[in-house]
Amino acid sequence: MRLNSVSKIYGDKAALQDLTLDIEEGKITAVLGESGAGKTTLLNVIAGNLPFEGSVEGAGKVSYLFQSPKLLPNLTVEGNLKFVLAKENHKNIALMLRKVGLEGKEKAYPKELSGGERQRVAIARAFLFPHDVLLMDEPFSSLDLSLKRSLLMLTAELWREQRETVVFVTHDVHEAALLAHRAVVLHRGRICFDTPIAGDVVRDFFSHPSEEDALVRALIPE
Amino acid sequence: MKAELKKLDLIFCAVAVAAILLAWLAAYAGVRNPSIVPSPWETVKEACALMGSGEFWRAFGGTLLRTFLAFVLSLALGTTLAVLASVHPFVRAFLAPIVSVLRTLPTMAIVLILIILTGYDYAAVPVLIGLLVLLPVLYAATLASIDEVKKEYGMVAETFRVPTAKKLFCMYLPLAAPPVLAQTGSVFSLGRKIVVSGEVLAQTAKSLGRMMQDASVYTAVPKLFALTLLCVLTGFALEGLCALIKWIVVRWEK
Repeated sequence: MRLNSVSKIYGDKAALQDLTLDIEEGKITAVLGESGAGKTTLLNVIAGNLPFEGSVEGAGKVSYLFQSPKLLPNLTVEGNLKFVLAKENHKNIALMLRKVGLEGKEKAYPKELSGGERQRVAIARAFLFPHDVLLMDEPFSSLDLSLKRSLLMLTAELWREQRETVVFVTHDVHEAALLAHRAVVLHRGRICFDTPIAGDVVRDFFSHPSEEDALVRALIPE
Repeated sequence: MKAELKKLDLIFCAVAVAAILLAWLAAYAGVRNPSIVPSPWETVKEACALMGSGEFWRAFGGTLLRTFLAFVLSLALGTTLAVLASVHPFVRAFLAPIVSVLRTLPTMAIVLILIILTGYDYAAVPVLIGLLVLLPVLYAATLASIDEVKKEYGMVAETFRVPTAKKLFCMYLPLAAPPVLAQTGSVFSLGRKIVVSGEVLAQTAKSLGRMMQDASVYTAVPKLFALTLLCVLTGFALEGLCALIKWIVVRWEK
């Protein structure tokens, strides 16, 4: 996927300025930056939710993991997944719910779930929806530490199975180090730093979950 | 804490009812003429007599049916227009002045115009006036609810490219329904008030409005008070019924 000279201006403020970026297929690219740096705008441009100047090539079908779960309160867990899926993909729901640890919660309404469970449903929805690129907009930022750890590990586990292209917006460098292959730092709508992240950390390095857990604990301390 | 607040609410409610009764008794004692202000017990006696008569129930049924018709028509039309307005900005802009005009129309003037326009169809006038008054209320409430849903969940549907029909029936309408349903009781009561006014002016047969007008013409003031009291009491019952319907329909909010 390639973004060519992308600019997005809100009123007199440029959220993205002539930004050119190649996103490597099958890898996780973390986009870091302070508030207002243009991170979420970048995701919305890739998702096609915003008009902008420039072009995005090869984004294909996009899935999204929002900062808050954004589950429809009138639908059950299963209903929320069915809402975004075509009928032929409904058969995958049960398996995905097992993977995210929500087996038996199919008929629960979002109100009956904990915050962590709701975010698990959102993760299941994002991974289940057939896509070429997965966009993640600070999905762990409002969670407490233990929940953040477990959901980071769950995301890494799901990514390992599908090895898909992910653009992961975060303001937390630890999260980026844990999940991403590359970090791109935005400042006032421009790329000011772009670097590969050494070693395959949580993504695919560990053969034993306890080692993975130890690293997550080290990088995201109490 | 919650139970205590509920208890306090009940106490204040009882005090308000007692205050109304006291004001009534004060007026009764002050005027000292039961043919102008009847006593509460006289009124209750008259109301009981009315409830035993077939004429009252036929009038009550007629008024209820007309209110229901006006309400259902306004709900269907208001929801359809609100959905269209939420999708097309042009429809929203086109409807804005029309809704403003409907909101400011003087009810009684419209009843008189409608009587002439409908060729003196006295049964249709209360329904039409109810529709004209309720339509802008339900349209505005539904549109505001849909806008709220769009703000909160519109991006989910857009990002995951959810088909329009699924968006409408699984997201917009069910999520917009609770705030609209919460207003249904008061909107229905408003509708009944308007329909009764229309019936008074249009002299609709088999209607509470006509019964009230007759009672006024024959200076049967206790009967007029009794009819008003029964209107208020059945209004409460209907508002309760609306709340019950909302409780049953919106399961996921419990």
